[in-house]
Amino acid sequence: MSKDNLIERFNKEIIKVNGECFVFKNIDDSITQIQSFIEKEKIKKILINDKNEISRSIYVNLKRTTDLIIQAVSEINIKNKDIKEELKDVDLGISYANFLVADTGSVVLTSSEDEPRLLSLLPEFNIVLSTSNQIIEKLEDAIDVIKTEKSVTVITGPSRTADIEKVLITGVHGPKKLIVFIFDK
Amino acid sequence: MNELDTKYFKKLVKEKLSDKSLRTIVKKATFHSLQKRNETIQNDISEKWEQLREKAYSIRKITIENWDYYFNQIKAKFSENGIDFFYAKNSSEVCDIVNNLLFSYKAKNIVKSKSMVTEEVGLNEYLEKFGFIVTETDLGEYIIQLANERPSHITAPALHKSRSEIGFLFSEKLNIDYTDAPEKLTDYARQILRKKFLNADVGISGANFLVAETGTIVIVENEGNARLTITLPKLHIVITSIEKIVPTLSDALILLRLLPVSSTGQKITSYVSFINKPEEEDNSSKNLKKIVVILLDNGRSKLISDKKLRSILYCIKCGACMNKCPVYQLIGGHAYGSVYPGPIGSILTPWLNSFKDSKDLAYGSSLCGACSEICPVKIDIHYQLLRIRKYSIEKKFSPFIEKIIFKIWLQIVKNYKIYNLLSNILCFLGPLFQETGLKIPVWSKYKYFPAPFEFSFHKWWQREVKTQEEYANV
Repeated sequence: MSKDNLIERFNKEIIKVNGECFVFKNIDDSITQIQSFIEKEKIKKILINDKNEISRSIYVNLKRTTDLIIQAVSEINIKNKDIKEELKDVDLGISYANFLVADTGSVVLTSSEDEPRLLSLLPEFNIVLSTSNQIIEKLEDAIDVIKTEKSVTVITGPSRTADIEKVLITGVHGPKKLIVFIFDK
Repeated sequence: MNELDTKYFKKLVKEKLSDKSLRTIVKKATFHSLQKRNETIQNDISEKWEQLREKAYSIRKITIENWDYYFNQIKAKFSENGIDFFYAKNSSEVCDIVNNLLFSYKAKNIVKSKSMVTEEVGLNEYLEKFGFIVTETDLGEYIIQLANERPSHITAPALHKSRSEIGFLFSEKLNIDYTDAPEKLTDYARQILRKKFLNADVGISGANFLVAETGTIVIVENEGNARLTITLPKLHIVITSIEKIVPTLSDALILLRLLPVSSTGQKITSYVSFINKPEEEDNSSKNLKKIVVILLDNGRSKLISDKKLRSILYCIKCGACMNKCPVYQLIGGHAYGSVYPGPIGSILTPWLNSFKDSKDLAYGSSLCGACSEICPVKIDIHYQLLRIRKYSIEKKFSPFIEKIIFKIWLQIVKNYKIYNLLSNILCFLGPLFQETGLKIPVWSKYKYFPAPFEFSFHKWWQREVKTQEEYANV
């Protein structure tokens, strides 16, 4: 599959599972998108995995343009603070993906110091950053990573339940919304 | 295993059959899941479904046939990966292991994500006796725990409850204003359970697959409660049964293509966690979190050694056979009285429990074979039902009256003269009952029993042959 096809396929699949996907040519556009999201969902505190060129740039840009509390995972690490405590009142977690899976519209995250597992789980909203080069066709293509990392989480859409009369509710114990940003130069 | 009610299967069935609102709810829910499953298979799966089933079947077959090999492999991998491992022969061993762990961790608050094996073991009741506070965190399981009931379906535990029942339950037990809006009820549960999560000392979960090649624990879920259960507390205990092993990670990924589709019609669940090794406790310390895996046998290794019965353990616990079963649709899961309801429960329970008490489950079926047809790992469920019936007769477990009737019947068919005489009498009397049918106790309460025809098959045959010959001679 070509890169464009992969993006298109991923987008199609993530919409089916109540997730959202945006493709950006540059960081500035994504900042505008995040800002409008912050306004719409009344976000107060953000925690971001900043160990990457794209995410660091987003972090700095957000710091500069909004007066919200924005923290980077690396800052917490330096201060030796407990992620669990820090995440308690964070309402938007910004993760960085290892892979996106086109076939199912899934995000593959490996846990690390920079991407603690709780970052994509405790906050009400989760934005996942990635580039178009990280899209793989099938989950099977990520098998080597799944084998070697301590733990890997595959996320497909926001958390959901249908335990009450099969009525679909999104946002149970995990995020209510999952938004994927794909940077495609 | 828990004290089971399978002895009272017939009584329970009667009770549930007369519950019309239950039937409406169960039918609606099972139809919904089936419909979604069919749509997904038709529109969203690129491979041929039958080929996938074939692959899955062969993976499960090879695993179970060589179970001891993979068991040793995974044991070695767990220890290599720093995961503690226990094999538990029976339920009480599981309880003891967990109890010791909880004491050594000075734990008080325990959060649990769905694990049918802990239901089998009766873990919650056991732990509560020792003063531990155990909270089920899957929404369905939480509802069931509040209601003090058992799951009625292996993947949708509260399937039998209506939204208003849940509304009343929440308002009574959680002291909130009554609402029957599913999104509001879910939100309440989220808030309450979030606090429980943050204060939990230990998390207990099940597992969907355990990969022998890598020692990977695979957990499939939608709500995020399993992720919280395995991430937040210091100690994560995995409790599942010995047959959950799969040889390789790519095998697990193939089964992962079938499991969510079969159970909820999803191509993949919201979350799939692959755990290889414990993580650091927090970023300030080098302390590792602890992962302990407990595998329950409870009679399963005996099943594995039986060539005819071992296919029962191919099961990946999707629940599709329940959704499809015309009997389950009518009576719901509680009628079975067993931890595992529906067709798969009926073939598993008698071998894990007192056979004599639970053999009746195998008669609660029309043998239509819908369960075998839908099973993603191609278990011969309806043949297994027959095997239980056969065994039950061989072991002379059938009711006294049935034994007598068949003894008499045997004598009749052995003697041509008596057989003929009796059939002539019945044919003679037959026309008298042609309209009402025969009145057979119990049977006639539910079904029409046709009266004997006015001549026997034997006579009909002779006459027919004669006419044919005459016709041929013309």
